[in-house]
Amino acid sequence: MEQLSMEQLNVIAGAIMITIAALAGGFGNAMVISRFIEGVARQPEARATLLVQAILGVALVEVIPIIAVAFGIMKVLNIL
Amino acid sequence: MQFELGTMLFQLGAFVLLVLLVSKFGSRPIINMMKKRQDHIQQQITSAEESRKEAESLLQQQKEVLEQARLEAKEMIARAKRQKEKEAEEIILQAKIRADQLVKEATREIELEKEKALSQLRDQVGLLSVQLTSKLLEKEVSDVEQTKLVDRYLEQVGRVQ
Amino acid sequence: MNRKRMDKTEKLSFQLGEIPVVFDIPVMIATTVAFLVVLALSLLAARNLTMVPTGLQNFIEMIIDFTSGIVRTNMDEKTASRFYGFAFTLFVYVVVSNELGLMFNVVTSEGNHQNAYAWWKSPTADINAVFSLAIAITLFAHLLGVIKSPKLYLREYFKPYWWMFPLHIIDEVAKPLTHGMRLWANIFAGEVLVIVLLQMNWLFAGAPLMVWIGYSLFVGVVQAYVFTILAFIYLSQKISTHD
Repeated sequence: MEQLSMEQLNVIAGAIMITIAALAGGFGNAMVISRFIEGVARQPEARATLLVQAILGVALVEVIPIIAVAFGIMKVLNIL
Repeated sequence: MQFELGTMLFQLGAFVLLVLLVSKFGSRPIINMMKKRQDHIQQQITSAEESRKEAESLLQQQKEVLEQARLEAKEMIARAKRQKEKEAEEIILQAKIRADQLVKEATREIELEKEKALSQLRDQVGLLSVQLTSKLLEKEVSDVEQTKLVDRYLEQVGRVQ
Repeated sequence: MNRKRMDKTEKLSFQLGEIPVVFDIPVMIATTVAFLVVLALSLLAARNLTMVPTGLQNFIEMIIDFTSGIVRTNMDEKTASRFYGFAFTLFVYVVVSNELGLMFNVVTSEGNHQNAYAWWKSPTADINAVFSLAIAITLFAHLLGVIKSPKLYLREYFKPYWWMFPLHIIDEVAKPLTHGMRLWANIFAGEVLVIVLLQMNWLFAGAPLMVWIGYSLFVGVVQAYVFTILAFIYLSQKISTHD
């Protein structure tokens, strides 16, 4: 097995970052959305308020994963 | 990816300028207009409420007047009925009185007639008896006897009667 | 495939004494365009105001209602009314900036791919532009806090215990960092994926590209909303330093 170049290592590092970010973000969003659906099932009349709160929650949960994805993309594209 | 002071400063300057310009010429007049509209709507609602109340009170008044008129009409009808009944009674009463009077008059007249007839009869009978007697007896009877005779007959007639 | 296209932009740089001052030309172009768009929108809407709003005025009033709602949930009515213009400008400017990069893609290349330059991108997809907004908002918040009451402002750092001071410092530094990075990462990731999809065969990437652009438009609005909300949360934290 030959030695991996720096560029190839960067691609692998970026791929790992994106994978973990996707996993973590997926779990986080799943929690928010499942609670949102529970809430709507319990109180269908509060749907509009809950929807805004849920989207806000998803946006807040997404932050760290999306930052990781951004850095991962930069790693993959080799511009960091 | 590098630190670019120029980009940051340009961005900051543009944004601050934008906030100032938009606040002054864009959003402030619009917000003022929105506030004005809100006040206007508030006022409209208040005046609508007032006119509704006014209309309600007018309606109440009208209802009262109507109710009063109906009561009055009812009373009038009742009064008219009562008066009519009274009049009818009066007429009947008068008729009765008149009838009684008529009956009484008639009775009295009959009585009078009877009396008259009787006295006439008595006179006639007296006369007839005298004539009859004088014709039968063909003789002069003294005045005393005649009177006696007449009286007796009369008595008899009275008894017969 | 040109891997560096996203980052390769024309720069304008000079030395100011010891400090290097670098201007990113595409970001400056996009900033100016966003500036003009927002200014034109608000001026057009405010040109002939009517009691019964129609068309553009109605639309802008809807947005003002929305942003004023954000401010009101964080502050009391009296303080809030001073920030309505700021909130409106911030939200609309960030939305326009987010969506600008999705409109089209201008690339000039001189000969080979290594010299390709991008001329059009969202200003918010550039980390410098976003950080300048986030840092400015944070500094503004601190400034308002100090002006309101320097003593209360300082006391906030030693609550609830004096040894919490370092944690407060970390918190204050982390706020603008995450505030800016949240917006930048979302828009940047969106644009990179658009560029990646554009470089593929359109038969294969056409449908995902449409879906992704639609999603990016949505994300742009949501992130602008989150950016505005967080800005006002930070502002209100500094202003309403209670007892």
